[in-house]
Amino acid sequence: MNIEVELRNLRAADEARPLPSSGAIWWRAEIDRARRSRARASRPFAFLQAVSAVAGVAGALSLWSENGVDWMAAPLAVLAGVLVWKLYSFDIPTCKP
Amino acid sequence: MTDFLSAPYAAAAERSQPMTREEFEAFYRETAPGLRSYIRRITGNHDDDLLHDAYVRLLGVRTSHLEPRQVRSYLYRIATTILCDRWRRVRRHRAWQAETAYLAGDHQPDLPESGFARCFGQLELRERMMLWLAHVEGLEHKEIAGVMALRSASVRVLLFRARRRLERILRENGWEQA
Repeated sequence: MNIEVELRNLRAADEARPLPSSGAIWWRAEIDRARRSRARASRPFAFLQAVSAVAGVAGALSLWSENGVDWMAAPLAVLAGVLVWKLYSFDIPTCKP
Repeated sequence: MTDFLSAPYAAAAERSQPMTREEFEAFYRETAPGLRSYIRRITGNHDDDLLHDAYVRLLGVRTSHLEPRQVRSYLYRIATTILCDRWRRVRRHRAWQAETAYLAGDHQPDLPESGFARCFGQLELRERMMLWLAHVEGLEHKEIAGVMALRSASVRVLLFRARRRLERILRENGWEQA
């Protein structure tokens, strides 16, 4: 008995089953690629977003420490924070599967 | 050892391009039957998810600087890595009995097995991989070393032992002149 021949027979027996579609694999890879490139493209914006958030908090703290805490300004500070967050949250379309 | 992530390959990869759809179709037609059979005989099941994952990861890297044979070895390396990762995860969660049986070789096969396939399934995971890559896919020792992250000299010895072990199992199961 030849081991190589028996192993090749096993392989031949597996060939009867139809293969999964290559198109589905291709599109899954395209979606992955688009997701990666979107993450890469949004990295500088995420950095700016973090810097702006820190600068905003530092500014608000310094103003409050100089002028005393004005609780009426708190909702305005929250709104400003949300605005900064949204400003840098771009959705960059790179692929249409 | 053929290390596709080593410095010369990485530098060439920078200038390289990913596969086009046409190139991928041709490569898939040529390699998918073999890779699926490899996965089937190593895991004991038809695992098309693993096949998908391997090709998706391959498409995520630039390969135009590699020879077709190297791309094929790289594909087997990716599949082997995914397979080993899953195996380790399964080992960590021993309580998950069905999954443990999936790779341990004592699985319930999803197709009726021939006597030879049953004997082959009794080998260790690494032995099965090595014998399959050497005798079915026709990979050289250097390529097997690259796929399995081993030294070329170790492959020769381990392959010899795997072959001897398979012959012993076959003899014990009544196969003559194994």
